[in-house]
Amino acid sequence: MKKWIKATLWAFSLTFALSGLSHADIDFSNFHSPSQVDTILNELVAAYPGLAQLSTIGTSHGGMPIKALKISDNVATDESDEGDVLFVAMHHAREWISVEMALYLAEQILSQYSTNPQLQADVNNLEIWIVPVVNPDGFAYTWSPSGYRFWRKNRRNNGDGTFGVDLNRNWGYEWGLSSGSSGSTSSDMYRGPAAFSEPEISALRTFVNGLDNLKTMLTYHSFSELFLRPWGYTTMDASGEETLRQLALRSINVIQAVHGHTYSETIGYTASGETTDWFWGEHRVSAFTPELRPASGGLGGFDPPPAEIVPSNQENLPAALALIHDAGARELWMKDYAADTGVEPSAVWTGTNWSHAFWVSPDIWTVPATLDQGATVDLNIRIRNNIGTTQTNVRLDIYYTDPRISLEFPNPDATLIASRTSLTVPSGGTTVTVPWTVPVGTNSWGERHWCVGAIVMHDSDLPLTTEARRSSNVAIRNFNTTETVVGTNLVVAATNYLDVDAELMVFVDDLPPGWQVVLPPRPKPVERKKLTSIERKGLLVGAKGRLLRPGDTIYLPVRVIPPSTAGTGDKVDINVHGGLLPLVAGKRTAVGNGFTYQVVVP
Amino acid sequence: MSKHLICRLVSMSCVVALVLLTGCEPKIEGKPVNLEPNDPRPILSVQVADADEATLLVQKFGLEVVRMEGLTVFFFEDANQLPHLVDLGYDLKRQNAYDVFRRVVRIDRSVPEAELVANGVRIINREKQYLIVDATIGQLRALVRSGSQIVAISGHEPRPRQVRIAVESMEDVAKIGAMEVDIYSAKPERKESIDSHQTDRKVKIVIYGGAFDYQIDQLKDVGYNVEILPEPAPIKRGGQS
Repeated sequence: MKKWIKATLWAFSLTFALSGLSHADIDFSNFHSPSQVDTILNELVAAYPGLAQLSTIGTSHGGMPIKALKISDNVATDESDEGDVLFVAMHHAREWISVEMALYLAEQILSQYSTNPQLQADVNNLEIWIVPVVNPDGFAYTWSPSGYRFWRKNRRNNGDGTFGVDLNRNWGYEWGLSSGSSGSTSSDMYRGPAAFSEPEISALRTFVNGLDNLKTMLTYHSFSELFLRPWGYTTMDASGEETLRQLALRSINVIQAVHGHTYSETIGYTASGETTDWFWGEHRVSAFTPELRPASGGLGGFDPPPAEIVPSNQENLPAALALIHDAGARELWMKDYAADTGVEPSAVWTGTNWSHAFWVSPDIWTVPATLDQGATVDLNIRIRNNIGTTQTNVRLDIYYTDPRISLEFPNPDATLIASRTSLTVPSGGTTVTVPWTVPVGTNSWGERHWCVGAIVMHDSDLPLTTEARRSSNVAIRNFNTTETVVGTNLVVAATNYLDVDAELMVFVDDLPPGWQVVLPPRPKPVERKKLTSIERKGLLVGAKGRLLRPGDTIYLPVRVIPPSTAGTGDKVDINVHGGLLPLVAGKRTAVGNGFTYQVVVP
Repeated sequence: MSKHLICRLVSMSCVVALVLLTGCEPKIEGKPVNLEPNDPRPILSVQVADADEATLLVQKFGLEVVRMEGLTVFFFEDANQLPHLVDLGYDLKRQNAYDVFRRVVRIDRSVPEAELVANGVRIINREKQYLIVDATIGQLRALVRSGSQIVAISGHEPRPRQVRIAVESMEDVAKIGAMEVDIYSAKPERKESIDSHQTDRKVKIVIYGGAFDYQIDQLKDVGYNVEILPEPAPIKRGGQS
């Protein structure tokens, strides 16, 4: 059976389960005014006090609250080990139908929680956030008798006689390009005086940066019947295009299966400073823009007949639920470290340390463990299955890459080692073994250092990102083909790829008793890589101790001291890895590179 | 004669005198425009390589940006920030606020369009009685001194025209998007040949969108056929409140 058909059936079964059991309280026979939206949100919270909670994440230019509905079990508790999923609507004031979708989604999740085990499990594993109106001033203006029904922007007073900034051009990733945004205040695509200049977008960014574990987001717009993915600012593919496209195509298929409307996957023109680019570019969180009904038309397309609301909501529901399931699923997965339970990101900042490294997955290993250049070894990947039943139609892709270029899987520079489709994974899991010819030579930094990445996929459990640290479907392990002799210095390097200052921490894993690893007391940055334009003006000057400025690289001479009992020929594998602690709230996630050295006593 | 009547006669005389002074040009309606800078603080500018750099400057030093035009960032002077910027090698330029702050206004048609454009004024829309233009307050003050009448735009101005553009390919859609046309939809539309003997049926992509007059001019200049559509009638919202 074709994959998408199976996915469609799965989504259908969920949709029918929902529709069959629905106790819809919201009347979707007409568009809801701002005050009605507020009433509905309050009613949902009142009807489901254990599952729904309403909060204000910021205020608009006009001082109106921007509200977020949280849906989760233990809704009053911040469960940092749970994933977050975000739905946003009403960036553009005239796109009323987007609000209806947000309300419908909230109602469906809440009303079916107690009767749909699959949905219940997903909700229990997640914190779902719905921001139905991110542009309250603009929304109110479109409903005001003195306003304008087809207003698009917010209501900033630009100070020159004009009003409004296009909130979907104000996000900070590649903001300000002339591609699909305007510097002219008169334009409906005016991007604002600076990235995040608008309180509505700034508030949403702050909210997102404060989430523990965002996995995916959808931002509803209208119209044209599209399901768009990054990039918006360029026609080039995003890093991770394969992952994003796979998710988008499945969404398009399940949308099409409901009422036969085929959403397109491209829009044909660029838009810089738009929402999904920031989520993918800054956080590697898969993000999509569904453009709802109608399929085409002029300005009136923003005001479709109210009869379009229900079918638009219905056809978009299964795509949203499928992404929720991907985010909540802990079914087919691989470990990042020995104690990993499948929660991602599984690293936890304990206050003094990261709980573990991401680049030494115990579910990826070779036989033999020592990698000689050019040798063919057995590469083993352990797929875990927590579902309790055998899973079929599982796919596994295995790559290796130069970790100095990318640690994402897949990525355009990675080499495919093997792809296995239609795998059967029994309850508990299975191990897949493939041959791997170890690369000869060095990576782009002159190191004999490589990273193997494995991606496990299932129709109802697709990876939402290319980053191992954010996905239980992706695991990586670094390998080093260099044999090091005790007494010589290992040189490991850590680079701050972030755009903010970060503190470097160096960890060593799996050190046998009696062995020691000695680090220099205060490593100094010895090389700068020019990453952004501002650095060309010397902003990085003044790095101290273990503080890394954006673009800094620190080379660490690491000495290994064997125990006195060690004899000639004794060998030990040592994992050395650097972790970066970004010194900006909300960005405190582990990044860095790891090495596995085999050290021999001469 | 009542005081009220005297006032009326005086004001009527003033109106007559103004009409005579301006060569009987019809006057345009609107509120007066403040052509003084929006903020009295001094303004500086620096050149950046891209918008990311401008964003980083805001993040690192808290620059209060007035606006960004091309690769020039205009910002309010702050003595605490200056040493950092100088240390980094930025060439700070002091700016005349009258060249920085802009207004979008209605202007009468006494000055030829070509002359306005030559003086750096951008014509956004052409209305029956007036033009809507975007210019610095310095440029507008000069126009007022030379006799132009300038008033504020209404709350709904400027509003883009509704356009329909049939194009051959998605490359055209990308080009039109890059011209900052607000594209609502761009979908293939099958068009049957007028000649019934021909079996050829061309698939065209039809763009619906919003564009100001200056954009429509640009579209026509590069050969696109732009059809201007009426704006949808005001919406009745039934019982919704």
